Amino acid sequence: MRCRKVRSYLSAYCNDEVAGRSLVAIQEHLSTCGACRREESLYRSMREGARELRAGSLSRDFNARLLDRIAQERFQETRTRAYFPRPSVPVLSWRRVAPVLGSVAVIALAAIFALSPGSNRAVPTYASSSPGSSSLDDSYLTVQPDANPNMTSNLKKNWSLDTQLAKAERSRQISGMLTSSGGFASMDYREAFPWIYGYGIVDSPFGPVVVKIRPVLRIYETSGSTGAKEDQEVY
Amino acid sequence: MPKETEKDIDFSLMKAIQNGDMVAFNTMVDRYKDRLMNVIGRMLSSSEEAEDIVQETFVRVYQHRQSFNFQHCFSTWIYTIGLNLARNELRKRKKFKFYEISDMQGHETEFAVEAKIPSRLPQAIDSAIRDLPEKYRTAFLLRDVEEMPYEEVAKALGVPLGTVKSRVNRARLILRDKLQPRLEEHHALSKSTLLPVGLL
Repeated sequence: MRCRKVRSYLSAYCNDEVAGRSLVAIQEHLSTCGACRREESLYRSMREGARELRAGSLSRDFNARLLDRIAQERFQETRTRAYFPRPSVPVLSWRRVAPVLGSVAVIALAAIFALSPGSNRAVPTYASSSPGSSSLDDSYLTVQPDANPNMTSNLKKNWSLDTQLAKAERSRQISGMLTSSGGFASMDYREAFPWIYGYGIVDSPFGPVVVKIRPVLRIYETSGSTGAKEDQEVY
Repeated sequence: MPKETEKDIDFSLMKAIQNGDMVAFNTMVDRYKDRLMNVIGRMLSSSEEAEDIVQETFVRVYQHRQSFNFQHCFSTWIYTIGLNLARNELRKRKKFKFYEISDMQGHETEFAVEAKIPSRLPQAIDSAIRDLPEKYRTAFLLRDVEEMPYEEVAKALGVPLGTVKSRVNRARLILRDKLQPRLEEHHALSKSTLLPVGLL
């Protein structure tokens, strides 16, 4: 065995980790090679020095402190067992409950949305039987009169053409009643009593009745074209 | 009557501990506290931290006493726990670097410490071991300082047997190169005076 090979085995040889033919070959080589013997002595010194290493000093009360901590652990363990016995049924964890709760929440939201009044909004119907309004559509009803540009704000979202036409017709009839009836109602009360603007008196089977009047959009149709006119409505 | 081995003593103590015998636990602590401190103390620079880790190791042993598997050596088990705790501590240190106040005052002292070679061989070896990379240091400490069999070292470190042998050999070569002047000096002195190694 050559020096290089022997030196690769020397650390293991000095720690008694080589056996068999290798051990014999190394021993034979060391008996004849002074340089390798010197190398061997270095490893042996190192081994002895490593065995001499002493442990870092633990504090004197190490055992006492450790046992004290263990006693605390035991106390904690006993108390936990006594006060919080293991439940016979498995405890529900958030991981298990979360998907169920999520599904329930989604179903509840869907039900609320489906049953809400907004969902029952009727689609505006365009009554072909209404007087003079068979061909009217949305775009026509959003037209504002020149005299009163805020009129469109009176149109509700859930309007229907029939309602609007009925209101316009009622307004026309009331207007006729106001002008045809005599006395107080026929006066231009708006000028005489500006504080009662918006109110009028209507004849009824039970006598004259004060009614609230506000401007409405009256829809009418002329020959060849459609238009809008500001009018009054009685409530 | 066959002599009771270390392993048998550990097993009988462990059975007693499992039955709640605190005297057996105290005996077990006495058997292993210095050995653990010998390894963990050299992995961590501060002896207070090492002592805390050793204490925590025994606490874990107590907490998990019922899960000990008698198919394996107790020493392997306790070293595995201790080394894992020490590694966690080293990982924490990598995240948060701690500086000594002396480090803040300049590097002169640092160079002076590095240049200083301990006069006695064991201290020189101790200092050289602390400078080893962690994986070589742990393998060397378990094998050459604690004299554990290679198989147990492999189990404690959770690496293959060949890897342990390679790491131990590499650690020895590094130490030999680093300590060559001190080892030669020691060899010459021991030949002339024949003093025990500890006194040199």
